[in-house]
Amino acid sequence: MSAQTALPAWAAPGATQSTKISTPGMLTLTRIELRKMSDTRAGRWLLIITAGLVVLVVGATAIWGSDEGSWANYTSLATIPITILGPVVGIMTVTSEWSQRTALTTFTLVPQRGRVIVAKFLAAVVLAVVTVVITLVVAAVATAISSGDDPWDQTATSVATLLLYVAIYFAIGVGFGLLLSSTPVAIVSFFALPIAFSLLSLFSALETPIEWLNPNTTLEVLNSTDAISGEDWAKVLVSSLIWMVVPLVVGGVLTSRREVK
Amino acid sequence: MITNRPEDGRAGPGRDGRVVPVIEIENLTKRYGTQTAVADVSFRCETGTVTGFLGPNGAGKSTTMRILCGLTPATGGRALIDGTPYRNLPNPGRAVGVLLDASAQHAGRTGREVLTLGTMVLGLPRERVTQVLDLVGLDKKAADKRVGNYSLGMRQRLGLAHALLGNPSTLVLDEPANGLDPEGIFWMRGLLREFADRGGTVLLSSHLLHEIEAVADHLVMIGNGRIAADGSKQELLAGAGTLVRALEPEPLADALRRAGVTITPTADGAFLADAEALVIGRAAAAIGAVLTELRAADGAGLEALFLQLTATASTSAPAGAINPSMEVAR
Repeated sequence: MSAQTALPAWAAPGATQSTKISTPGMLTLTRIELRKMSDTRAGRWLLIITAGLVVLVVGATAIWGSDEGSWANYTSLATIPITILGPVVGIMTVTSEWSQRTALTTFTLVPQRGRVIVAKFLAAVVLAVVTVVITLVVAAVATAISSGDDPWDQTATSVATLLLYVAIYFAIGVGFGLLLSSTPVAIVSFFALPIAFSLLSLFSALETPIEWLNPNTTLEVLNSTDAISGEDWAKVLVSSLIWMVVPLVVGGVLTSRREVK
Repeated sequence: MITNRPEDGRAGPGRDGRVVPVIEIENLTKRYGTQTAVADVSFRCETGTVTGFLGPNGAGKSTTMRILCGLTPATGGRALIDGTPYRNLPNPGRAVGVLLDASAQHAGRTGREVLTLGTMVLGLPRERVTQVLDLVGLDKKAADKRVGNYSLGMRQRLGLAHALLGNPSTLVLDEPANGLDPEGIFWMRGLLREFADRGGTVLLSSHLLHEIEAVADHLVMIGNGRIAADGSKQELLAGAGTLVRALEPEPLADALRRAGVTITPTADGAFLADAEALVIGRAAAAIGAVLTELRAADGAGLEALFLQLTATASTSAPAGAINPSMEVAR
């Protein structure tokens, strides 16, 4: 491993300082965060496994499932693995900065941490959109292969709510990551808390509040072709406020203030 | 002490006509609860110099550097780069190359990928990645390996590559020689020296005196969060008294102390006396002590101070180990 000592012209102190120096834009930061989700072994495999599960679930249902093989049904099924693993991607985009200590580099290059946090949120939303598109394609292929009575039942509205559904899950992941900043703690909390809520709803006194707060039940309406009532929307709003908005805001503030070591 | 360099266009006179130093740390204090990590630290780094930031582990070097780079909020005081706080630099990586911890990289990312992400933030062409890899001596094979498989020396090279990526005029490096082999250390010294000689500014920390002595022209020594010495290398290396080595050092040291000479033991059994060789020679003759070495102490005083900093666990700055003029130097 030998290296020349002489600094080449480009590396002379401040040689390109005359060229434009500007704060990296939101688009650039989002592209970087998207790239960081898939340029590590862990991140890449998480995405591959998620995609694999989507194909597996849809494929298995198309081959061995019942006769109700419509596009919406397949999409809805394919979304299940995504809402399980997608949030983990969201969590890890934040927590890996701390566990791998890359926060040191990230926040040294972009000291306005709020911008990095927003970029991570936007990257998660972009990934959610991409995921939904892939899901729709995989489901469409399955629909074309299998034979249902009314196979092409996907509407613009149901696609829109599906987008919202997946995006909320990804964003909840980012929020949990920001709030808890440790990969295992965030992942366990993300899975255990809704289960705990379900168990609490066994007590009749808690049944109504839990009905409004458990995202596993409130958000389900978004992943179906059924009409969504006003009360359903209110529940979606309340539960996303608590599970998504609060962790994002509180976690964002905590992350901005946290000392990077 | 502070050398204004009018021939250098970069650090021009500030609003008040004073030359703005590249790095200016002013009364910086950082407390964690009741513990003070950095206590009223002030020093400056001027254009074209390598500043060695020396101190034992836990002295407050890294905390000071993290505050300088906006990663840790200060309890009091301020740290400026080119006259502004780090956070206000439009794209900091283009002005200051920072390497605070070479191990703080994602183990699953390749070296090339780490640098590619860097060029994206900095708004620089991708060719820069290959150029900088070449500069730090990481070949293609090494660049495409995951950082998790890197030796510490390779991580340091990658870290230095990352710091140089944005073509900054200032470098802030925390213990960059850690894990480098002797050839690597020699190479890095040459690189940093040349960087400063061509008008750049380097702030470089280390817990090893000799590592810094070889490259720095300005030394800042810190112990227990306080500045213990600050001055040019020549200034700090000179005037540190006389090095005395005797067959039986204790009786001679006692005799000198009685005569009002300040004695500072060094690590290897010798001691430094704050007096001329003649005075010591006479004292030795008077008590019949056998001298084995007697010479001007060039640098030994610095070493003694450094050892004292390393040894003392007290919260107060060690006093008396160094010529007071050095304290004045800042």
